Amino acid sequence: MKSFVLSGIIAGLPLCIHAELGIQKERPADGRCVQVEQGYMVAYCALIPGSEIEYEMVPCPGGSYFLGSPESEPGRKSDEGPQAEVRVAPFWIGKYEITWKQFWLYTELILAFEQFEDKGIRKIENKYGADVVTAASKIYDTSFTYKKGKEPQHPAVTMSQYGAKQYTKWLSLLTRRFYRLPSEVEWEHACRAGTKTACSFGNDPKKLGEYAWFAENSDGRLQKVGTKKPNAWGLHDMHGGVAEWVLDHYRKDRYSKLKDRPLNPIAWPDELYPRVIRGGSWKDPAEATRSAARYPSNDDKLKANDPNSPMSPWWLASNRGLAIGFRFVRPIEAPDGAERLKYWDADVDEIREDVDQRIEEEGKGKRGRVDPSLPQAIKALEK
Amino acid sequence: MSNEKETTRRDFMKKTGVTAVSTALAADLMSGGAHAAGNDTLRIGVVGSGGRGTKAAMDAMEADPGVVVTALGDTFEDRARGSLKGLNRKKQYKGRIKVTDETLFSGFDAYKKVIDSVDVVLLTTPPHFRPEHLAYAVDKGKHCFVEKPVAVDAPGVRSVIETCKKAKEKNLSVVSGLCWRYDLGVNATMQQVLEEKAIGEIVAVQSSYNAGTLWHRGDKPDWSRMEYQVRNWLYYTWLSGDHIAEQAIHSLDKCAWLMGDTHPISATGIGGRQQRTGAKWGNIFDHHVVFFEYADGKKVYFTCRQQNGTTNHVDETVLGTEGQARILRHRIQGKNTWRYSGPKPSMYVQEHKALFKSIRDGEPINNGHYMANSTMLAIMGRMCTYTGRTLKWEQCFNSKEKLGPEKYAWEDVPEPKVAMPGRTKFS
Repeated sequence: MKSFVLSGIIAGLPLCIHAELGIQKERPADGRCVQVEQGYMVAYCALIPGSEIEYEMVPCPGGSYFLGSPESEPGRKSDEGPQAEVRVAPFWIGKYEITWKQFWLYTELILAFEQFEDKGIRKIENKYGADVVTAASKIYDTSFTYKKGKEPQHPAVTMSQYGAKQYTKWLSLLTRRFYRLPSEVEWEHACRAGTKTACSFGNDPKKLGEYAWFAENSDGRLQKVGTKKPNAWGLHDMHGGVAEWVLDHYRKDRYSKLKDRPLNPIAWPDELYPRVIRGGSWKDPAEATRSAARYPSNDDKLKANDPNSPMSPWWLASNRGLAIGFRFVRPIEAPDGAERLKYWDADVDEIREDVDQRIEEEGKGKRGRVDPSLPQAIKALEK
Repeated sequence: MSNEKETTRRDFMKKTGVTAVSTALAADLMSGGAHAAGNDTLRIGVVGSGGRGTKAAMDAMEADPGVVVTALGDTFEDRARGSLKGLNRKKQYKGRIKVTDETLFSGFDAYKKVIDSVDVVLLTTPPHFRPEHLAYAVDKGKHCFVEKPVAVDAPGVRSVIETCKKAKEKNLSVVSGLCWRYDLGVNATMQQVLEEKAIGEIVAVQSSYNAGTLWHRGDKPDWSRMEYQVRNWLYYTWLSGDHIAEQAIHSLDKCAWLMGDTHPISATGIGGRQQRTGAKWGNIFDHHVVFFEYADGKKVYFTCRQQNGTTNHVDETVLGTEGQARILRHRIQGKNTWRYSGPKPSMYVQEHKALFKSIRDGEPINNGHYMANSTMLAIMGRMCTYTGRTLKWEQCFNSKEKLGPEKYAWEDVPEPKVAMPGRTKFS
């Protein structure tokens, strides 16, 4: 329960102290670490405030690497090149994909927000405020959402990129630490864990089954996270499992425009789709799970089974959606307040308007204030 | 979807007596006043252009490249305008949204103006209004997409049955929004159970639509009580039919399908409201349990629930003499273990593909029988849970109880009472 104490102490203290979680002054005697100015980044485990549910973060070193794959790589597609050298600052990343157990805390948020509204408490001042999170609309048809698995340790699926981003906003505001989706460049860096081969374990496709759940071994459904071997940095399911959202807009020719070893480049989206999904999934063939493989999103297809318009900004409704999830990162240097919203909130009018309409006119989804006092307020509702 | 599969599905539907397709000539269709030729533009209109109606219009455009949207209607002008905005924003439908201020209608009679001006109408208002709207559309010779359920009371069901007979005479297509009938995985599973007898003879069906709660649209000081009820229509039995009809009809429809779209002889039910007790939640229940008995001895054990924090489960488990089938999971276990692994295109698009193909081929589809029968099944279940009495199909079907106010106007209508089993009388 060490992590619980830690998390309890940290809530409410200023940011400079929060940044200490996962940092040690002295080099640890054992276990992986990443040396940075502030000391040594180490893996950490913390509880989601207000719950007994843990999440584990693993450090990734900064440095440069070649994004993409060589033309000679079997299964390679043209959008994986030309290879471009990029630089990345150190960050922590989730050891596993977000599980249902971890995601349900966010999906249950709407029930609390509804009651706050009924009671006229925790009112919102600015609906686009830095402290406001949109709670996802309730799942309409669970027979669909959980069709491929609903065990607490199964990776959560069918959230949109916006839904995943609001999750990271919610967790950040609860913990006072800065969590967000990884950029495409960070994601591939973490996946490769220093390797240049097709997969983090090498080039031998016969070994994929030891590291990944994919079409050939998944039995056509979700499998529990962390049940295959990790990569060299201790990350599980970067290959296969569920495909993972990253921050970036998808552009087929993006890599040709990455010049002069850019540091932490992000292709910020300026339209609803395509956005990048990485890592392949339980329903994909081996080549789609390679470190460099990219997949463009298409909201109209990913939400094709949504019976309503506007289609849910938080949920996907398609078979492909049943194979899409995410994990989040915490960069060593957090941007300041306003800059953070870029990583969390609706970034194009279409999403913003859909969210407004769903919440304000349809009564689906709800806004609420999130801060470290939220878990107490939710507990008080139970009385 | 390949033509081969389409043929198979249609043959299957014929064999199981769902609805035999008519072989009417295209020329006959013209007498109904609608286009039939291969590439002609088909003008569609939406009656009830909320979230579902707007998406249904998109599904229609996905299904048929010749479809254009020319009219939108809703009781509320803001809903109709919101719908138009949503449609206009989608790049892929550019040039196909031809709604103007003159063809955007609001008010309780908006449906007439929409129907008068189009070839095909999508009926997607709250279910209360469906029988009247469908009757008007068929009277005017229009093909219809009809959302579920199709009525909230027995007189409404009887009206729909009569209207569908007229539609057949006039060679008009009536396609139901009971969407699982157009899902390829469910069709394949039904074929295994009903045609291939993969689980032997059906003994009973365990059916659940146990889910969480849905939306609420709040209240405003300037809303009359009529406006409050219509905007929050889910929670008023006279508007939605109760959640047993509004949502759980998807489950009851699959049960009916498994029972050959016949009706039960009797049913008994238990229900009430435990979580949603506040006044804002109107007068519907939040759980129902109904046991249906069929003439051939088969049983349907059905539950539905809308309660937060409870275990969700939505599916039909079919118990057979040689195994069990899970309909939505598309799986069979037992002597003939089987799993569907074919394509799963959007069933919402599939139902519109069927509709527009039927119009263009001059082979009208009439889903009237099952949509009325399954709606009545839900209403019968509700009558049992509201009264707490075991009821016979015949008495339910012939019930004279007509739900809703005498007239539709924006005034302060009374708050309907919540039913109390043992005290609420069957009528």
